[in-house]
Parts: sequence; C-alpha cells; structure tokens
Amino acid sequence: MSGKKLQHLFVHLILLSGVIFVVFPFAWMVLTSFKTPGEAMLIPPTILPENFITDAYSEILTALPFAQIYMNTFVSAIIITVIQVALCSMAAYGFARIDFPFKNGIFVLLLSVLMVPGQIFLIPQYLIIMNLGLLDSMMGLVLPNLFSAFGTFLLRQFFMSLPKELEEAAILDGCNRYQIFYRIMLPLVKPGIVSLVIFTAKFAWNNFLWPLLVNTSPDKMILGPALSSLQGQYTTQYPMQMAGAVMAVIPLIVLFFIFQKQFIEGVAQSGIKG
Amino acid sequence: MKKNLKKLVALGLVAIMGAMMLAGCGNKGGDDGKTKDGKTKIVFGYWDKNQKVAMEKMVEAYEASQDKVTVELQLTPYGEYWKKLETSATGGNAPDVFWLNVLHMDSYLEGGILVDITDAVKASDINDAFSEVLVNNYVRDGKNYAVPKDFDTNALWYNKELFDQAGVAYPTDDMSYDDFVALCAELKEKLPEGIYPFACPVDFQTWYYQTVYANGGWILNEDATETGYTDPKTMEGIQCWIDLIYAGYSPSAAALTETSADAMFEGKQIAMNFAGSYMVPQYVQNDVITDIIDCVEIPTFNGVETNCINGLGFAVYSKSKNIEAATDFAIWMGSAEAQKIQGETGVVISARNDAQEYFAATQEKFNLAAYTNHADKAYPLPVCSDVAPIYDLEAKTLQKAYNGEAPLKDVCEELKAEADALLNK
Amino acid sequence: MADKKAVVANVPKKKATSREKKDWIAGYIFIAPVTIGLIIFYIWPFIQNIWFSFNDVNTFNVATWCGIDNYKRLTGDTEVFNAFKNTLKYVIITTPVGLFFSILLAALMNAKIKGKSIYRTLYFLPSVTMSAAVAMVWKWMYNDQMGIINSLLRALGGEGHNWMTDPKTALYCIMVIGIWGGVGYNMIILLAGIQGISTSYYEAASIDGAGPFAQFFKITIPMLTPTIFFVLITGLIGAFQVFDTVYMMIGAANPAFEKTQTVVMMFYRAAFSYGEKGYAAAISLFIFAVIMIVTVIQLIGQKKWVNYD
Repeated sequence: MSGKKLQHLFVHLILLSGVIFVVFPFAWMVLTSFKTPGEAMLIPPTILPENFITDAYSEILTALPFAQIYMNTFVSAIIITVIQVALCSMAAYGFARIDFPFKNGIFVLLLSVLMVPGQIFLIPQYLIIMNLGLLDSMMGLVLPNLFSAFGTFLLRQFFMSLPKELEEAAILDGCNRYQIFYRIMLPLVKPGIVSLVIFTAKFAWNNFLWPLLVNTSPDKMILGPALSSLQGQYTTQYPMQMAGAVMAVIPLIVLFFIFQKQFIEGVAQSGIKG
Repeated sequence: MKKNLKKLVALGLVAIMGAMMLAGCGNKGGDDGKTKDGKTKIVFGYWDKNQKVAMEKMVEAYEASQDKVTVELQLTPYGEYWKKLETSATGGNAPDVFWLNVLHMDSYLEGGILVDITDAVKASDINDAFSEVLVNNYVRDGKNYAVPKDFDTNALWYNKELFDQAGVAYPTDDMSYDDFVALCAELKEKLPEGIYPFACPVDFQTWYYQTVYANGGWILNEDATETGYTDPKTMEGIQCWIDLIYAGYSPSAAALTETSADAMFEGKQIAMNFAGSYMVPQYVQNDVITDIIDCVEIPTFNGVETNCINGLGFAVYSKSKNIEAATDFAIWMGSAEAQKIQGETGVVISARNDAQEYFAATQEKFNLAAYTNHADKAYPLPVCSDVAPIYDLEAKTLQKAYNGEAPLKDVCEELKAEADALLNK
Repeated sequence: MADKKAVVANVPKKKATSREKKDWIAGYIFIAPVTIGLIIFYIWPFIQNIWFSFNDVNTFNVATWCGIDNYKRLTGDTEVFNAFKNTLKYVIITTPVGLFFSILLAALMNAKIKGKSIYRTLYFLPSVTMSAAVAMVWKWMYNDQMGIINSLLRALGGEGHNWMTDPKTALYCIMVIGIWGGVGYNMIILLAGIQGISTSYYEAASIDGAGPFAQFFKITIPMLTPTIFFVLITGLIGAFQVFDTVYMMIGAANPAFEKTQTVVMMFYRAAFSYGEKGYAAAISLFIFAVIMIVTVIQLIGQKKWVNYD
C-alpha cells in the first residue's frame, strides 16, 4: 500500500511540475486583463497587477453586444457540433466496420482534405455559399463545417479497435447494420465521441476567418470576429484583448470540466468489451 | 446510455430544423441595395476600430445631408480586411465604398475593381482643397481612383522623465541630424546603464526612407523597373541609422525584433523614438507614459526637412449596384464638413488642407503640430504592384547590415540585384 | 472467440453474397453524408486549386493559363527549398516528442489519483489560450534581456542567450511552443483511447502478477495503437503545416527569419500578401504531395504495428 502511495506521490510531482508550464500563459492572459494599458506595457513586466482594474471588461461590454454574440456563437457551436459528430460517427462506422468497393480509395480521398493549407478552401466555399444565397445567414456559417475528415478519421480508429465478435453475434441475432451501429457500437465509442465533441465545440467556438467572411451584419457576429474587431491597425490594447479572450474561453473551460467527467463514466460502462 | 443517445439524436434533429429556419430568415440572394423605405443602401468598408467613432459620425452627417442614401458600416480588422475584400470582390459583392491604401492601389486597379472618379473629383473642390501629393497618391494615368481621406507623418517622441533624470535638455523642433547625434551622445553618457537614448529598427517608413529621400536618394524609379539601393545617396540615408547602433545609442537591430522600438519606448527603456501619427491614440491611452512624453519634429538631414507621408483614400467599387450614390458618398467624405468631423476626433490627421489643424488641436498636451508643420514637404512611399514582396525583401536583406553581418554596400548590391529581378520577372 | 468466427464462416456462400450486397448499400449510406459534404465543400475547391496551379491568378482570382510556369518556378525557388528544410526539421522533431509527452500525460492522467479532473482541465488550458497571449508570453520568456529563461540562467551563474534571434536556436524555440500547444488535446484523445480499453484485460494481468509498468507496455500501449496511429498521422499533417506561431513571432527583419520560415508561410505570403495565388496553389500542392506520400507510407506501414481488434 505504501508503495502505491509513493507511486502516487511521484505521479503528482510530475504532473505538478508540468502545471506551471501549462498554466502560466493562461494565468498571464487573465492577469493582464486586469492591468491598465500602461502597466501591460511595462518593462520588465509586473506579474500581478498593481491594482486589479476591471476597465477592460466594462469597455468590451459597452463596445460589443455580448449577450447577442454569446447567443450566436452558442447556437452555431451547438449546430456544428451535434451534426458534425453525428455524421462523422456514421461515416466512421461505415469505414471501420463495413466492407464495400472503393472503401480505402474513398477514405484516402477524404483524408487528402487535411493535407493542404485550409486557406485554399475559403474562396470556393464563399462562392458556393453565395450562389446558394446563404451569405449572412446561420446556415451559411455552419454548412461547410458540418463535414469533417478529421472527425471521421478519429472515430474510425475508435470503431476499428472494437472486437468484431460483438457485431457478428448481433448479426446472427438478426440485427441489421443500422441497429448494430446505433444500439451496440455507438455506445462503445463514447470516449471517442466525447473527445470529438470537445474538439469540434472548441473549433466552432473559436471559429474566426470563415464567419468573418460570410457574416457581415453586426447582429450575426460570433465571438472570433467580434473580438478581432477590438484590434487597431497599429495599436494594441493588451488588457482589452486579453479580457476578450478570457470572456471567450471561460464557457469552453466549463464545458471541458463537465465533459471530462464523462471519461470516467466511460470506463464504468465499457466493461462489455473484450 | 440509450436514453442519452436518444436525447442526442432528438437534439440533433431540433438543431437541424433550427438551422433550416435560421437559413430561411437569412438574406437570400443578392442584395439589391435598397432599404425597406425605398432609400438606396450602400455598404462602406473600413478597418480601424480607433476610427469607428469618426466614421460613424461622418456617416451620420452624410445621411442627414440628403434623404436618398443610407450607409451601412462594415468594420473588418486590418489583418483580414484585404482578404475579405478580395474574396467578396471575387463574388462581385464587395462594399460599395471602401478604405484603400497606396500599397494596394496598383494591384486593385489592375484587378479592375476601382471606379474612375475623375469627373466627380473635377466637379468637386478636391483638387484645390487637398495637397497634390495626397491626391496624386490615387491618380494613375491622369485618372482619379480615390478621394484622399487622411495622412500620417512621423515625429520624434521623447520621455521627459528620462531626460530630467539625466539632466539633459529636451529635443527641439529645429534640430538637425547632427544635433540629434550629439543629443544621443550626451544621453548615452548620463542615462542609467541599460537605458538607450534611441532605437533604430530596420524600418523604412518611419526611419530610413525619410533620410534616403532627404539626402536625394531613391528607392524605385518612375516606371518601376529598377531600384536605387546602390545609389551612394540612398546608402548614406540608411547608414546614418546603422551608425547610431554601432555608437551604442540604440539597442541592436536583432534585439529590436524581439521587443519593438515602440514597446521599448512605452516600457521606458529608450529616451527617444520615432512614431507615426497613428500611434498617438496608443500613447494617449497608455496611463504610465502619457503624462511624461511629448513630441517634436523629425530632425532635418543636410538641412532638408525629412518626413514620409502616407495616406488612405475612399475608393468606389466597380461592381457596385449604386455607383452613382457610392461616388457621391466618397466625394462627400472629402468635403470640408466631413473632414472636420474626422479631424475633431483627434485620431487621424484629415487630408484636407483646411482640416489638418484639428488633429493638433485635440491633444493640447502634445506638440502634435510636429506632424503637420512640414507635411507639404514630406515624401510619399514608393509604390508599384509588386511592392509588398520588395518591402519584405528589403527588411530581410538590410537586416544583415544592421546586425553587422556584412557591410551596407555589399548588402545593398545583393538587395538591388534581387529586387530588380523581382520587378522584371 | 474462435467458435464465433467458425459459425460465421459456416453461413452458406450464396446467402453471404446477398448479405454482402446489402452491406455495400449500408456502407454507402453510412458514408454518404460526410463524403458528399466533403466533396462539395473541400474536394471541389481542391480541384479548383489544382487548376489554379497552372494559371497566373491575380488578387481577385482571375486566372490566365500559364502552363507549368508555376511549377518551373517552384523547382528553382531556393527559398521554398530552404523553407521545406526548416519544415522537415520541425516535423521530425516535434511529432515524436509531442507524441511521447501526450502518451506519458494520458497515462499519468489515467492513474487513480486525487484531483485528476483538475489536472485534466489545467493541461487542457494551452489549447484554449488565445494565440496572441501565447505568443506574447513566450516572446517574453525567450527575451534576450529580460526573459525569464535568461534570468534563471544568469542566476545560476550561466550566460544568457538570444534565443529567438539566433538562427541556430530560434526554430527549436518555436518547436517547444508547438509541442506545448499540441500536447493537451492529444492527451485527451489518447485518454479517450485508454478509457476504451476494457478493465478485464488489466484484471487478468493483475492476477498474473503484472506490475503497473508491465501492464502499461503489455496492455495499454498495444491496445492504444489505433489511437496512437491517429495522433501520429494528424500530428504529422499538422506539423507539416506549421505556420501561425512562426508568423507571429519572427518578422522579416529577424536574423533568424530564413532559418525559421516554413512552407505554409511561403504559401500564405504568396496567396495573401503578394497576390500570386497561382504560385501559392503550386506551393500548396507541393505540400500536399509530400504529406500524401508520408501518410500513404504510414497507412501501409501501420499493418506492422497497429492492432485493430
């Protein structure tokens, strides 16, 4: 038992030493948001603000309609996450578990999407959305983001690591593919789905360039473009920028904190495997 | 578990339906440029949030001046402004009127997205009320493509606290380059260890172009086929800043790529700095230094006033559905009324001659007239459609001379060869 | 296990083919939404990009045919070649090191220790910290005169170093930031992979008397290979496309510029600063070809080390 305690102590020590490394930039961002513009530029910098000033936050709240922006961001993130994860898990199951002609070819074709700089897609996507008459709409904002090669690949790996026997037994029981997918396989890749949800939600939440291009009305703005509009061409007000970033990131951290507990449940429920 | 999944699917369906509904509410098809009450609507694109108030006030005044046209403002930060403009122009729906700078002037003209507004300019008082340099920034082959909006020039800023501490007299408006070097020498002796008198980063517009031009040097010839880096006069105008680094009056150029000259100045690590007029809002907001700094004119070089001038313009989009209304708005933005409103916000120097004074008047604690006193003698930036890669090449190559890797003469020869090849490819 | 397989194999042949056909249809139905979506919004633009690479494309995307000029220029462009060398160095170092730390962290996070949810959240922070804040803090830490790293070195009696402007060290500094930013999310994916491993394997191993290290190497790692494979491939692809940290931290006047610029930076500048979208397309296809070759080699090589089922 004491051996185990020693082992835990060791793990804690490693993790704690890393914590400084990962938390520091984040803490810096939070602390800077409470400084005055002048203090943020001091050399050498102060670590703690001389006085905790909340001016940056109140300035942002007056400059931007934050309730509206949060709402828009939230709606777009929910739509993108739910649909993308649903479509990816279907496709991933298909690629991982079913044999059909040209499967590997199609899969590599889809993967190729990840292998070029994402910027090349922007202009053609803009033209498609424009021709569909969807500029400046929620549909235009979310549409290209509903399909993900990354997510399909991720979940495919999770489906592939499940034992074949489960499926085969179900087929003998007379289940069809759709029932197998929905009732048996999907619950087993829950940890994978949770990690994709976290990734997609984070991506959709921070989405920047695409919404900036397609949504021009201020009332349809989401967080990324809204925060970038606080930046001048030559001037940077660090406290305001950092305050904006803090406000943007807090919902994500809360979401993560809630979702990571799902991992633990995941263990308890996946006892079926093996 | 199953329950959760069902919920998930239900949520998904609700979300899809929601998306469809929202899409239905969205703006279908092209905008015909009309509002509900039959007015013509034009979109006006700009990039600087510091000028948000100024632009809003100007638009408000324009809308009050007539009853046919309303203007919708569209702010896109500079980093993405051109990307967005180019993308939307590809689709044929860029803003009807937009801010344009000289760097993009030539490629945008070649791209055919600018409207020739010569006639409208002639019908207005623009040619009389603006300095020729600023109007000509946007003239190609005798045709006007934008209404001058504002301009920026440079000034020498100093930290009074550091000067007092060292017991050195403040710089003045009438200094020459030699006076300035002497001042640096005196400061170097009396400032505490680690604090520098000045900073010389590898920066064209705010540093060496000013002395290059004042010295009679040149960067780009008239028809943009050759560069003048190896002209001895050009090299002198660059060398004079490198000398300051090696005299120990400035941190190394490498150090200045880690911490910019401006960050050093705001962090009280250098006593003097050059800064464009666009930095004034930043200095006003910086509570630590705003009360201990002031500015004077850039020192003269060989008895010649030295300054670079650059400015923006209002351009009209060639595929606008309301070119007439858009042109009318752009011309109005150059009117005495509009330029006065802009100047009074104190954020930029209005381009119009009779509105330049407002900039200096808004911040009385600074000697902002340093920016406008000799604006008529300031040099415009060299531009052509290939100028962006040349500016990068210049910084990348000249850096070697600044950091002592090679003498300036060798570096300039290398730079000229590469830049000329780029121009003639 | 073997019994079940035997049963399946015993199903009469004819029935198997009709089931096969049904399976084909099911397979296509499963992959259809994502495949069609990706074709419209990504693969079609990709094909346009290929067409662009044979054209001179101006700022406003008007294309004029120029044959293989862009490719000719690409083969003679020493700057792209240099950028490719930097990128390759970045890929070769950051991918394995990042993977190592991600696996280590995921394993530690999986231990039954107190405060695990706090640790997970903290280690997730780098992937949600604003990139401007990240650049600012790292710039300050690496700073020659007042950076925390040099301060520590000097306090310990050593000498400071100009990390970000020395062409010999700048790229490595960028690599540290890249690894730092990527570990958090890869940790989550790997953790999810570990959670998917049935506890029964561990129980059986415990009974056999295997210690935690033996369990880790004999069970966790082999069972985790599909997830590791994913992290490896996406990590390689991401590393080949490294761009924004370098772009934000190294300006053209930095002496280390030539030793740090990456291929995607070349692409980005050609496309968006220099108005040479045709040439940019050719660069992007060069990047694509390299990544594709590496990925296909990995896809073939995986059979040697990845355990599916």
